[in-house]
Amino acid sequence: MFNIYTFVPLTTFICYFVLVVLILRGPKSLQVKAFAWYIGAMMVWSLGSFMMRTGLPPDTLFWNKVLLFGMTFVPIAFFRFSQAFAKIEGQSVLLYLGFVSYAILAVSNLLGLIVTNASLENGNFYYELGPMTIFMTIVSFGFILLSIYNLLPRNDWSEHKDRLKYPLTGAIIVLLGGTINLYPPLGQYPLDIAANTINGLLITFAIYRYRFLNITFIMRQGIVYSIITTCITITYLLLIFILHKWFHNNASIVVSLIMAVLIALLFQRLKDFVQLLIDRAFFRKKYDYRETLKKFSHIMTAILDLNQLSQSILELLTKAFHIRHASLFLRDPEKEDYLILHNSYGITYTPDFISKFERNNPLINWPKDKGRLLTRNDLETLPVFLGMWDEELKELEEEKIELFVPLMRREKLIGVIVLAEKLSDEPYSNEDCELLSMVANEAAIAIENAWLYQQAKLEANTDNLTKLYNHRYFHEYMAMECERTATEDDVFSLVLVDIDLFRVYNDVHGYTEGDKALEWVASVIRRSVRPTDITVRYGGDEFAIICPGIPTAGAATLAEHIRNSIENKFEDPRGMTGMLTVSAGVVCNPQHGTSREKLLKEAHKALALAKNKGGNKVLILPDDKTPDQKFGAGQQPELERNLRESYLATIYALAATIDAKDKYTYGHSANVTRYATTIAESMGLTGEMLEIIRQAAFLHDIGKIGVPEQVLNKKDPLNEHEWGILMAHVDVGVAILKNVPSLSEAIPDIHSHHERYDGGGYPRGLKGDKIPLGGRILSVADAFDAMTSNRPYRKAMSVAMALTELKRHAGAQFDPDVVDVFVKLIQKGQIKVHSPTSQIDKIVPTVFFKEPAN
Amino acid sequence: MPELAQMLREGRIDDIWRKYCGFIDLNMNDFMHIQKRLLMEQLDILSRCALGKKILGNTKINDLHDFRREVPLTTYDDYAPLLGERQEEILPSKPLFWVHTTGKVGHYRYKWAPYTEQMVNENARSFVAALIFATSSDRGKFTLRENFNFLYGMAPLPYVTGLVPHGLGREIKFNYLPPVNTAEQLTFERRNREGFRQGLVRGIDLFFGVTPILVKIGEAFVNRNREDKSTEGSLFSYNPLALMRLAKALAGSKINNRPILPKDVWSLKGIICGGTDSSVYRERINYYWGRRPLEVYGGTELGTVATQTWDHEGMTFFPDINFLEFIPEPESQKSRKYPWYQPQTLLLDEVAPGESYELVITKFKGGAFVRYRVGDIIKITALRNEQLNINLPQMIYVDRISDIIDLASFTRLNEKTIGQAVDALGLESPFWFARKVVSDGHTVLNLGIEFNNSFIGEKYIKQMIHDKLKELDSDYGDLEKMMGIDPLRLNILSTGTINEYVKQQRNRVTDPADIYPARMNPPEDTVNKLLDISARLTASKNTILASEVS
Repeated sequence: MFNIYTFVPLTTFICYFVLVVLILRGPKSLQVKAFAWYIGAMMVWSLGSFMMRTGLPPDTLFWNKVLLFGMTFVPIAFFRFSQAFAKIEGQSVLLYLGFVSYAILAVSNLLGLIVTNASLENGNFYYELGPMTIFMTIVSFGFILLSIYNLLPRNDWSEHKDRLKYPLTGAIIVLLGGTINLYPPLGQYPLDIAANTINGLLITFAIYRYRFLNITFIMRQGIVYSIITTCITITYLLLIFILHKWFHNNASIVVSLIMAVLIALLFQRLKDFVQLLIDRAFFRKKYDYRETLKKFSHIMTAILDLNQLSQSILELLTKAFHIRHASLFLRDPEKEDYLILHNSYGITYTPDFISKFERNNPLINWPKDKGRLLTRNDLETLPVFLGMWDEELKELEEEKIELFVPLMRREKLIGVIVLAEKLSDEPYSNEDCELLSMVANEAAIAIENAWLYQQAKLEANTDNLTKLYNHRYFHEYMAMECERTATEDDVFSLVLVDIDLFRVYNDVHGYTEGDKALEWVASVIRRSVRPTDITVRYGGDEFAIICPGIPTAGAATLAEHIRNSIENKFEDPRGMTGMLTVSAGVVCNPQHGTSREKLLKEAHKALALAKNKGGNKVLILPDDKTPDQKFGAGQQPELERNLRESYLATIYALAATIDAKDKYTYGHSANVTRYATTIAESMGLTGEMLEIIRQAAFLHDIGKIGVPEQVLNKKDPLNEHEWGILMAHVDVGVAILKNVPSLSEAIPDIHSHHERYDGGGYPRGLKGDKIPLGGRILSVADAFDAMTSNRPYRKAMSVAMALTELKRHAGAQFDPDVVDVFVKLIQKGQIKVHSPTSQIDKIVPTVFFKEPAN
Repeated sequence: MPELAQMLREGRIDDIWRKYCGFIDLNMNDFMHIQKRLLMEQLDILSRCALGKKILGNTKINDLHDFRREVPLTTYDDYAPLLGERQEEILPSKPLFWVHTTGKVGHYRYKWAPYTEQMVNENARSFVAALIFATSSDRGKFTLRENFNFLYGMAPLPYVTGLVPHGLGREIKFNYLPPVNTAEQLTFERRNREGFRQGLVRGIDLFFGVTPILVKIGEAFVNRNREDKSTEGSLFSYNPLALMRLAKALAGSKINNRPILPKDVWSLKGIICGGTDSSVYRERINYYWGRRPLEVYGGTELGTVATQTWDHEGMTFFPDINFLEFIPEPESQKSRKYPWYQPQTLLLDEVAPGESYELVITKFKGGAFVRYRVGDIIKITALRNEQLNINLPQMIYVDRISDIIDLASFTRLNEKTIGQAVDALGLESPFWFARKVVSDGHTVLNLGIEFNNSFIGEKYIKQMIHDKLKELDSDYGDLEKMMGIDPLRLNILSTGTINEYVKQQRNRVTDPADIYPARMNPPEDTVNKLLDISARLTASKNTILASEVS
């Protein structure tokens, strides 16, 4: 008879049958083999139970004995499995005892000493227990208890805890089910086999969920076909059997046959339908993949934003393959390292994933050389990966990285997609890998296009010289940032940085050096900011930094760091530091305003204040609520003026000191000033230009404050080192004067007064008209006064001889036009010479000015 | 990461070969890339510990060029106070084991070396490679399996060879003969004896030990029924399985009409020999045991350095155990002569075939030693193995540098020990030299001594020195006791030999350091010259004596 009591063991049998088939298809470790024996014993138990309840021949007692063969072996097999799983040694005696006990029970079973009689009456199962039942009970309970003991969690295998709790619970349920059999009124119901079924389901779940015993079901289409077909056939045969029984009692054989054919036709349709479902189930993935690929094509044409593209690619991959997380690394064209562009996580969020692979990393080199996927197995077995650092391996292990998919374009690796394991823990199949390679090919094209587009866009927004963002992008970004802070209730700061006296720097060093200085300042700014900050070349020598998320204090610290770095680390072309400084103004949204225009205006105001304070300063503009007393509007100009005047006084005092240092050059500055201004006037210079030359002439030797007196007053010719010290005085002079804005205009003339007309002078070797006019005039005036003054190493020359010398060197050392003007002025008596001696020099100077090297 | 045992069960033979033995298929670029990368890892680890700061100094080492230029070569003296006290807090990584040498090295009783877990694992992995090669017949064809009976005849912890069973446990399970726990309680002699006794019952698949032991067992088989019955009697038992094995061997020997040899009793799948003189015993082991031993080169401070492959010829370096540098022999000699001299090193891609080098290593994976001169001389035999298509330099072990005489890895004699033995004679001796020579198929100590006046017979002097050496060094005594080897060859130099030698040298050489001969391991031509002078002096004395007599 078929009823609920027969379907329970039948279901259990089918479950175990499927399990055994799947387990035996995979790799067979000792644990897996022991587990297979255990499941096999359960299967025999279920088969016996089912057949016994069907009443099929030969008889109920026979099938009951089959049941007992399986049932009595279950505790022994489970014990063996518990040993193998827990890796327990030294219990071999117990195992041998178990085998001997089973042999005794098997013989007893054959002799009918366990169950003496069994019958099926009206669908109810009746049986009588024999004398060996007690022995069977002791053995079964004993070994199941031993197994449970073996499987109890231990300290050293906590990682198995989750995987074990299901089989352990199952074992306890089986134990309880088996206990019921000892009480025949309850034992007539298949409660033991129900317990068995629960155990089977728990184990199946453990295998799926926790990869119990590392068994992975690879559900091949063929296997599922076979299993489902078997189930349908069994169900069909059972139905025929039931019908046959029913019709046997109630109708003719012909009717039975007709019904059987009809059912067969129905089942054939059912089988076809189920197979169709299986086909769909198995090909579903492929359909999904194709859809995914189609989506890729669509994305490729639709998205040119690299971030958005990579995000979409990773999202599709993680969804299509059910991956824990994936990352996309792109090649940095400058350093050739591979930097993470985007991370996409399925369920698990892992914030500490590797963010960069350096270009020589084997994880990059191998896919680059081979142009194919790098699998976990490759990583673990290929010798080229012996050079991996422990930290790297640990991180890959923690992140469960399984695949590196290279993105190749024209045989070059442009990036790598790194994939973690699947959520199901199933390995990537060959089919997956092939598909991923195809996807990677398509993705590489899309990424390259997006990258090129981004580069073009970046170039449009980039300043060519400094490689910072340009003015246009600044305004775009400022507008976006103002909008963002308004909606997100966030802050951002704006820092304007301007190079102090950059025009003078350009005049002194030339525009090529000026460009180099701009590049250097830009690089300092770039290195100082956070990756999220936006750095811009706002104008000529003005830079802007937008710092999202940080208020004024943080931005001011950044600006101060930049100011300090530039002041201390910048070396001018002659290797001197401190020649270039910057000032900065800092404002914050919303503290100083919320619109782009207002913020810029305020930032410029702060910058102007910093400049007015003498430059080389960072200034935070006080907001309306916190007025800055120190920089109060009424006091500021006067304070500044006082400061400047004080500084000027110091400078002139210094110039006088220089003259005083050297008794031979006493009055030199005044003489040179007189000569130079007269020349300048004669050459048509007036007003501010004339004033600049006057200042330059008076201060032209101020750098000599740094020259030791023994060098200045040395009677013997200077050696190379001493020449170096002396020549540096022009740079030192610039360094002193650049702090006085009102004197800054004089710097180019002072800096160039030792240049030679033929290019052989110093410090820059300027030639001809490249030398500022003021410098050329100073050169003549300075030389004439030097020649007509006493020096430690010679007496003063006569005016006539000095003029002859000037004329002799006109066109070589001196500007011939200036010499011409000067000679005429002397001859006309428009310049009076206060010569220290009227006698004709007898000592001819050997070296007045250093000759050009050639 | 799959362990070897699991991979074997799953039948992943190709994967196993690639994983453990694939390093022999690296090209020089890849090999050097691994070396440089792991060196950078080690420098990164070192920069964070006190020992690293002591050795590396305050200079920031950014690349290999900086490393070779800024970091000085070191010897054990640089580590002795710290490692001797086993100060773990100063090390780059916490050690899992501390191992030490067999002692008597230089001024130190032991040289200590810490091993981190990663180092143990890497060494185990390299030893697995050696095991696979030892059981290989061709590329990718090997017979190594789980649960092999493994006669592990090397010293247990705290010697470096004792790390192997601990490390191998992570990879594969073997039946050790005797079990590791038991072996660690036994003396060297008893351990080997017990191992072979158990092997007679259970069979032996693998052997790892010093080569003279295998030769001795072979000789014991050949000499049975003759003078060496004691060894045989203690080794052979009357266990039925052992008797069956012997019966089978007897049948085999009768068929071949020769005495029973070990290869009739056991069919070893692989023999690995550590130690310094394996090449001397190689062919005899092949004869007795039917298999040539596979040489592995390593040491306490080094770990495993190189291994032979299945052709049992030159050894190939492991890329991931040590950073390898090589001091050309002339540079090495110069630096020993002038301690202030810092010799130049070469990298593996700079060595030349046929040249000998002193090895310098930097441990990877958190090890302590940096640019460490271990004191071994190796020779590069070829830049590639043509037969096996291995594109990496092949090496052989030559010897220790002059300060140590290592005899068959049983003992290491230094100048102090030998000097004490000579002094114990109580005779005035202006000069002696000691060196290693091969005699009667064994490596032995050759001692040459000059006495000012001695009327004691040579035989008596030899006995006295031999007894004193046994007293000072029990390992030296084991050579005689266990191997039945007479390990001493004595040359009495005529009085005046050293004076004559010095006189000749003064006329010949300009460097004062070359005038006096080295006591330990003097060069072959120096020894020949000394013996030559001694012979001439003896002949001349005999002539004078003869003329006086006549």
